Amino acid sequence: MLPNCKQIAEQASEKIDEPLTGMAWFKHKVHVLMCKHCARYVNQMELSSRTITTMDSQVTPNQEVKKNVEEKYRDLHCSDSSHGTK
Amino acid sequence: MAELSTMSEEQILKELLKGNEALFQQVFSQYYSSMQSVAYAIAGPVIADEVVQEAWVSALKALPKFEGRSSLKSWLIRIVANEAKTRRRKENRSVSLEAMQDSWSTDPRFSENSGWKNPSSQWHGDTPEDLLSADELRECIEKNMQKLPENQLAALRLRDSGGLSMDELCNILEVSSSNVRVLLHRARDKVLRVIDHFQVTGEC
Repeated sequence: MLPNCKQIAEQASEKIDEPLTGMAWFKHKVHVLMCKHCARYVNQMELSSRTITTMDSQVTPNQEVKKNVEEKYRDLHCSDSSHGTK
Repeated sequence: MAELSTMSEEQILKELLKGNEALFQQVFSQYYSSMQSVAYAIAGPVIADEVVQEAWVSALKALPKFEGRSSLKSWLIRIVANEAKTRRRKENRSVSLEAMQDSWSTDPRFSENSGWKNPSSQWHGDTPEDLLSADELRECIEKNMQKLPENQLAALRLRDSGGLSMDELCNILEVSSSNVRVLLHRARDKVLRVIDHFQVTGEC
């Protein structure tokens, strides 16, 4: 039996993380080919996920944090170097 | 100056251990957004940047021992996630990452026989860049994501922003893999509905 639309909606997210295989993949494919609402939902689910990825990749670093972490990196490296030369 | 994108992880690590500051600045900028998203999702917006800073301090100390079993990014994300969870406990905020809240079974978009009653509309644009060209939509998504249950928001950010594996999500959120799948579906479905509503009405 083919999955219903609600099950396809759940699979739409699952298959972003782990590809469907075997009969589950086949049944999903057949349903989506026959159901334009599910076909649209599956595409939109994938697009929504990619939109979050894109949005969050555009956050600019907090300058104070950047400065503090860079100072820490410099300090650690300097202390390592001084140990090395002793 | 060496470009991060042209270097292997092994080369990057070697340079970082040698003290290549210019490269370190690139690495920091490259992973900042993912780390900040994870810290924000688990520890909240107020201390997110503090958590990122603490995570970097821990990572820098541990860097000489990093064996490269996972990617540098995954390793950093794990550190920031653990730091965020620790901070969350210290702040005495209740850890409810495992709680499940669900209204999926009564979702009005579906009929009684689980077929579509109110399907989504056709969208104008088929890439994230198309959708995000409307600043109002970006703000609307951000605003609605803050209304997600904490566990859903954390799962979404760990996976779609942080790029962590499903196993890593299970470990960090301390839930089963089937629960992680449910959390991700509910969160992404919410984002989808927000975008759909905006596409139809032009409003948040």
